[in-house]
Amino acid sequence: MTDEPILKVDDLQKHFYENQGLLTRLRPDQEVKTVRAVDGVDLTIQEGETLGLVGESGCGKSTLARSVLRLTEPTDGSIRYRETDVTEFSDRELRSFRSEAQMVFQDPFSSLNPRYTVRETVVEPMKVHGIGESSEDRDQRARELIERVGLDSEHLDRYPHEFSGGQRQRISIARALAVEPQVIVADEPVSALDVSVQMQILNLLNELQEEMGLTMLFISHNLSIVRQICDRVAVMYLGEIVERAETATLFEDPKHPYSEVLVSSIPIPDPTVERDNITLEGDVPTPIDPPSGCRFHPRCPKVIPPDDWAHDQELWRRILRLKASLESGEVNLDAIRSKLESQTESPVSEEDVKEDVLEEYVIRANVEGADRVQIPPEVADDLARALSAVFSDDDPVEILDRSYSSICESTVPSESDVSDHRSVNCHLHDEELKRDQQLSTVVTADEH
Amino acid sequence: MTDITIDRGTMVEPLREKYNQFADTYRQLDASARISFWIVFGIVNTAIFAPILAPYDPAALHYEASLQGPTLAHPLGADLMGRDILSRLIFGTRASLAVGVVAVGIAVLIGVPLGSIAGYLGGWTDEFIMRSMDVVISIPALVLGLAIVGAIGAGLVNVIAVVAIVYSPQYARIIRGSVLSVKEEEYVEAAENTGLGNASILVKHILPNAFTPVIVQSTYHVATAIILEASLSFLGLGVQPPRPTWGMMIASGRQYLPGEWWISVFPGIAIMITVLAFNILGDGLQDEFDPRSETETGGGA
Repeated sequence: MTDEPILKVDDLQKHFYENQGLLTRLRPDQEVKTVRAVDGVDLTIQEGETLGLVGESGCGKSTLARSVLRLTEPTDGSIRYRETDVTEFSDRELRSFRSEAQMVFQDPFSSLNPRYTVRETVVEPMKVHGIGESSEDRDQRARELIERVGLDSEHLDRYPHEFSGGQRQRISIARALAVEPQVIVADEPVSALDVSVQMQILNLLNELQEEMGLTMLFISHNLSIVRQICDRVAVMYLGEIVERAETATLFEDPKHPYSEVLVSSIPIPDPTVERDNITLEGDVPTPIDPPSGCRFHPRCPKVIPPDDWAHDQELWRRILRLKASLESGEVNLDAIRSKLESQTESPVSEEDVKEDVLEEYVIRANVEGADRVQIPPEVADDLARALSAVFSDDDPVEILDRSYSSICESTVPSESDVSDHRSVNCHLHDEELKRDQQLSTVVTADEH
Repeated sequence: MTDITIDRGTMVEPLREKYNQFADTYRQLDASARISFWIVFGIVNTAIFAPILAPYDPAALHYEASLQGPTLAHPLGADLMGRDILSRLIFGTRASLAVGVVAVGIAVLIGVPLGSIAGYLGGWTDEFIMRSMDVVISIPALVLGLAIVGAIGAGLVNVIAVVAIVYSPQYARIIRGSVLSVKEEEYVEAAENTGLGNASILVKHILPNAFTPVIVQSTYHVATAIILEASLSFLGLGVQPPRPTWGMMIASGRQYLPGEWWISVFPGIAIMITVLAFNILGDGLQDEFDPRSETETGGGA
């Protein structure tokens, strides 16, 4: 392993635009919506290593992978492969880059041309890149490849539909290897396969990697798989990398609250082990209008209360949730009123509606079976005032913001390096760091 | 001596291979497609050997047989001027086939490249091509026919030109839609990832997977083209008399219905059989060309 990374992604962005038609652009009442699928990602991959990229569905993993290979044009940022900038490649350079970096796709049922035989599928990339001297030579190579990935050379003249998912994925791997690449980007290569077949394909990838010295970017939402085959892991959330660490370190000691949630969700095959299973609240927010500050804050179990907050962190979280629900317009007072009216069969007052909102969103946290929290009187006052604002057409969010806002909401956390190959984007961590620094300055001051 | 035999061998070998391929394909067809194949085969041969097969000259007038029903002398009867319907039917095969098959073939050759380029490249290219196609579509077929015939005169070749121009936008539209959906397939992205150029991706990966609706549409268009030819001929803009076409025969027999039905019913039946045969054969071939269908039938056996 050299120090110079084989692939270095810098501030990569990929935005998609909704409503981009000419007419919508001319209309002032319509705006072009930007979907920030990948929003400023830095990654480095050393030669020969496997970097895992994990995250929920829809967080931009696949878009990132495709942008790295320039299968979609990145909006901004740079991708350096060895000494060259992939984003500035001409068509010809891009073509030769394709023989260096290959992709294994997620769904083996759609990534093979149904009208190509296995032979055609494997030979075509060789032809494109002028590998092999004659068609006999390429045929021979195709036979070797197909046997190497665990199929029979008799299969060469069959069509994809005659194979099982696992076999198809083997064909797909053979196609990727046909050009003798240096880098393989594997986009959830086993998630479409039966569990029993997953291991076989993973082992095959592992073996091939060692044999050929491949560098691999392995994308998955399955942490147990990542744990097995990756050297380092980057955790992605809503278009950003939130934590980077060596695999073992990440699984033993996840720093970012999101990583903690992910790690805690891995099943432990031991019924006697008890642990806190942290469940995430809500859905992944839309990348069209990502949350302010730290993008994870609306769902973060560890969202930071202000310094003068005297109550439970849990209560704090629920108030933030109420605020978010009010902001998104999810709280529909009319609907609540008519619901209450149909229950009691009598007119209900504003107070009743407010009470119901508090009950729903704060006390029961809108979750079936969640612990009830007590609302201290002074907090209840604030909330009541904010909710009254809804009835008088004022902005309740603004009122809440005055006394209830978190650093997580207001400030984007910066990346802080914890140690070698390890970094976290989280205010919690910033603070820890600050405290440590303060401590150390105190200590040094004492020494003098 | 040896040289000659080797030459003969190398020349015969590819032919034999082609024949074997054909025989293989034929064996895979189901019964209805096989029958259709032979009907189409028969129709094509009828067109080629019309002068040998027809009992009379199609233009010859037999006044004594005017408006006569089927008899031994005129098996399918005769029209007002005593022309033999069977002979006219046999000669009419030529014009109808030319219009039905050649014109539709040309329409496919024009429409498919335009539509697939539009669908694959998208953007302004797409807008330009498809809006031009819309212009052509917006003109009614007969009016366009009138204009073209008015410009270059009536005749078989011009009818073919009209049909080809009128139908080509439809193929452009069909293949464009199909290309749009196929180009989102992951194997197209995979092909891009192998470093293949745009043209190769379009021709090798997208078109073969997008072509099915074109085949279906074209077998149907063979029928409507024959009918369009009839309309044009009826207006005197198509194939010029005395050359017979099926469409013209139906049109001219229309006024004698239902009494002297044989004048228009037999050409009608001819059109129906031709169209059906092309349709069924098209369906059968399409199944055959789809590699997935092979195991489906195999699995059933």
